[in-house]
Amino acid sequence: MKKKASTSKKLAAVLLTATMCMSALAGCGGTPKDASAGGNAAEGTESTGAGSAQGTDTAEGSSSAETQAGGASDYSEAPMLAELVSAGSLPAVEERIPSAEGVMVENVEQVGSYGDENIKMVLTDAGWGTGKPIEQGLFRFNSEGEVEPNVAKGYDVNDDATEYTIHLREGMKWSDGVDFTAEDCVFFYDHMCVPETFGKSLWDCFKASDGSTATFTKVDDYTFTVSFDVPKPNFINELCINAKWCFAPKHYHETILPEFIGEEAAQAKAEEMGFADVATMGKETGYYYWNVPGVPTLNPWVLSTEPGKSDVEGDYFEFVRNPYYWKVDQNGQQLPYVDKIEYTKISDASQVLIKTLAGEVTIADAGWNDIETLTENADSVGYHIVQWPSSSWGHAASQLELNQTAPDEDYRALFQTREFRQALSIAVDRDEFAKLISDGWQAGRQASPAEGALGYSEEWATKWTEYDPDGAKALLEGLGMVMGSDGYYDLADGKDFVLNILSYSDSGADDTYQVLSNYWNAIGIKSTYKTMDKDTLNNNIVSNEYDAVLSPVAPAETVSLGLRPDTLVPVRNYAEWYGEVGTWYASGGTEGIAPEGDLLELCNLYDQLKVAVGEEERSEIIDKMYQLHEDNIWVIGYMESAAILFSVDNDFVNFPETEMFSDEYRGLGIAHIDCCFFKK
Amino acid sequence: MFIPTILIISFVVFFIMQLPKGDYVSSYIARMQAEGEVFTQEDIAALRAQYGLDKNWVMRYFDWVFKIITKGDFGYSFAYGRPVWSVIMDRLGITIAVSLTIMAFTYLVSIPIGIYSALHQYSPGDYIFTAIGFLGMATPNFLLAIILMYLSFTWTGDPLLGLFSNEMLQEGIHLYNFGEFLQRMIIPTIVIGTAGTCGVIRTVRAQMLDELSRQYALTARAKGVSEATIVYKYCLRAALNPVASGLAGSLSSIFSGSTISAIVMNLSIQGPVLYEALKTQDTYLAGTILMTQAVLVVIGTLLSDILLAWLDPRIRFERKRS
Repeated sequence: MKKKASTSKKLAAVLLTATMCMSALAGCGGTPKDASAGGNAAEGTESTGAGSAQGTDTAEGSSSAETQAGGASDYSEAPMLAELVSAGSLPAVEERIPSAEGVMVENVEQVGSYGDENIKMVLTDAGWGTGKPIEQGLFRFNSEGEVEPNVAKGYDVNDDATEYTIHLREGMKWSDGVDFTAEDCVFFYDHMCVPETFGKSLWDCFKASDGSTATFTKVDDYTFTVSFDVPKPNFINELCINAKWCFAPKHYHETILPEFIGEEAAQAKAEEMGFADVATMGKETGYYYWNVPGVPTLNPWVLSTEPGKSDVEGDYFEFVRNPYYWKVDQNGQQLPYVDKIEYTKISDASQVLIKTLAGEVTIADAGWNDIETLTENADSVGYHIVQWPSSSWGHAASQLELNQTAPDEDYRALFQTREFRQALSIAVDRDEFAKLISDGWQAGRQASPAEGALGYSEEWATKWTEYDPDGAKALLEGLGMVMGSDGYYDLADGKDFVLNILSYSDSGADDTYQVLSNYWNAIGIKSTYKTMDKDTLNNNIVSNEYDAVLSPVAPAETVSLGLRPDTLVPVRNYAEWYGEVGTWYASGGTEGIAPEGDLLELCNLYDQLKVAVGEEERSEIIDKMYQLHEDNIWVIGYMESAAILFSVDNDFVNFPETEMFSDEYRGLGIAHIDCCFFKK
Repeated sequence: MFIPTILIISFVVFFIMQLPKGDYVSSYIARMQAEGEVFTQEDIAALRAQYGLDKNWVMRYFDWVFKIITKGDFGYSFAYGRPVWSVIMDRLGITIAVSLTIMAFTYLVSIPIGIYSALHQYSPGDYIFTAIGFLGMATPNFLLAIILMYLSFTWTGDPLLGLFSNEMLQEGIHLYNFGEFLQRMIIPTIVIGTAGTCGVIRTVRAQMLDELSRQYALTARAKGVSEATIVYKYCLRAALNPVASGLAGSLSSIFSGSTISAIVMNLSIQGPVLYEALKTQDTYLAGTILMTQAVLVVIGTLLSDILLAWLDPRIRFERKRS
């Protein structure tokens, strides 16, 4: 326990120092060195937090254009590209990257150098694992959870938030050298998102509160607008989460999509590429595009097209540098620093440890259960362990969610009382529980926002965590429950009460339930526990046939309620605690079960949030939503979530010591490995 | 007999595969959700329709079999998004190479040991080999694999995980690194091979002992035929009967066997593909692999019958007489 406490303190300290360094960096943005690198350094707004995200960006970009005009020759490139240039098979670096005012400058912590060493990773499944670390969205989140320009140079929004003007980078190119323009963004929306060519129904970010959808209009090659019938204040944030990149290589998809070449030719094309049908081809090339060789991207590395190195289902494949990558460091060196990412397939996740100990990986997932072995061998092999806090509201297998719309009316009424949830919460000795479950690596805690995430407060994290079995009994009696002859509490009318808990196989709840049930027994709450296939459990949830779930399928987790509320606001039938209220909300009140009291208030607040224009108004609403959660503790948590561990090669420089690990921040993506390099 | 057998097997295979709750889409969604992707109910329904999983399994079975018979089309693997056969072919070569090596190892090691044990019954050598053989059979393969990998790691710093080094994966296998490939074959061969040796050793030993004390051996000995001729020309031939008939099953395990060991040792052979396909309910891929195995068992039985007839004249004569 002590150990853990000190780790999290250390984390906080690291975070603080990091932030301080960043502001220092930001402060010296005007030094001669930076000026020589490019007047638009501030515009680059790296994760170092320099510069602001919103609309202001464009102005800065254009004002710095003049200072930059003559400085094009300051750019340099990797030796492997320089060779190609001198051989005449590749244009010069200045012609490959965006114009001086368009190029994105990453203020890297340590300026790196090109080298021969490649990034080595292992994985069991390609999927998102290869995508997130290199993904480039129109905008991206920085470590503070703010949106900053990335592929886009910036944006403007009109006063009533109905029209967004997005500016792109002049001279930017796809990885095959074709110009990247506003056409590609409009094309993605009109010809891929709307007709659902990649198997995703139109994302919420493109839908306004009245159900109408967005319109994309090209203004010029480097500007397009997204307009809505009614205000859509949170569009850019939502875009970041839902649509992420929001562009596709028009020149490529025009040659494969049925809309352009006809159904038959598309089927032939799909078969030629080895896909079962047009839908699969659409999904793979349009959505998981980074895993298909030959699809042009804007990523720092693109999948090799060499036979034997290009199959993400194979034993080995590699991503090679994109010669047209549009980012440079502050010294004008084109990124990424490293030539390749080499992926080796493993057949079981446990082999990561073997690979790590053999020194065959640059960045690898590390598990808490291997922490001792990993620490022991760190120095001799030459890696170090990096801890990233996760955005989870607590250890998933220690989260208990009571169905607020439980099928039995009496149970439902009981679950809706705060007192009952409080009783279940204070019935548990969290210190002892955490020690038993995590061997003392994690501490007891209430389910609440993670440290460093929006909405965190220590008060909330410790709410209802004081171990008090007698108090719990008093609360139950206060609710009118009566002690039955079997030593367990019955409902007020004498009906037996049994807390029937479900979970899915391998959720980790097998262990936590065993410990928790003893505490609940001690306060007179009888419980049962059943695990099932995850899919079966999902079916139960959809059909509202469950009372409570331990280790939910959708555990409480988010960096901010305003960004991704799914697990904490009843937006659709998804998280276990709000049950049918989600259906009610998604159907506009025609189906499901209508909420009452605070839960209704939460839904109303979310409605308001969707149309709130001012930043202040928004954060006020979000605060209120957090407050409702804190008041009600709809999700009961017993232990904190473990930090996410990585083992990182000691020679690998610029890999951040700590970042929030969350899907919103694209997992490893926020580490910006295109800015990392190997020490010589 | 051949075709109905295969058809019945394929039906049973398909039936069993659809028994567990859920389907490929649900396991796919669970995986993608774990990585943060969000699916709406419509997305899920669309996926099911795309994969044809909205249809009844019996319908899907007949569709599948119909296409196999009419077009030779075994369907697409959901997980790979490619035709099933192209997925299988990917690993077929290496699987056969590995399996044959292991099989050769098994027989080359165990038959001589079996003969030796029979000829030197109850000698210290017999006991030692018997003990080692039993140990090999009793130790689970994956455990032996872990132990050998551990030893290799502590001695050489390389756990020899997988059949190919990173260099081989990047450059392909050439003459200059073929030696290293062979080196990497050692652990899998020992691990998977030893499991089979004990059975063969015991069979050969028992058969040999039987044969050696038969009348014909006694007669031959009395007539002054050399011991070597008796052992190798007469007794061994008869003793190998059960070994030969055991080959029937080997054919299908050449195609896809030793799944667990292959996973532990990260061998890129067919076994783990089948395992993964079953786990994710990638029906057509798993179905095709299982069906191919069934076909191979049937073919293997035929081959071993032929082999037996060739090996053992008695069988031929019986046929002729009847």
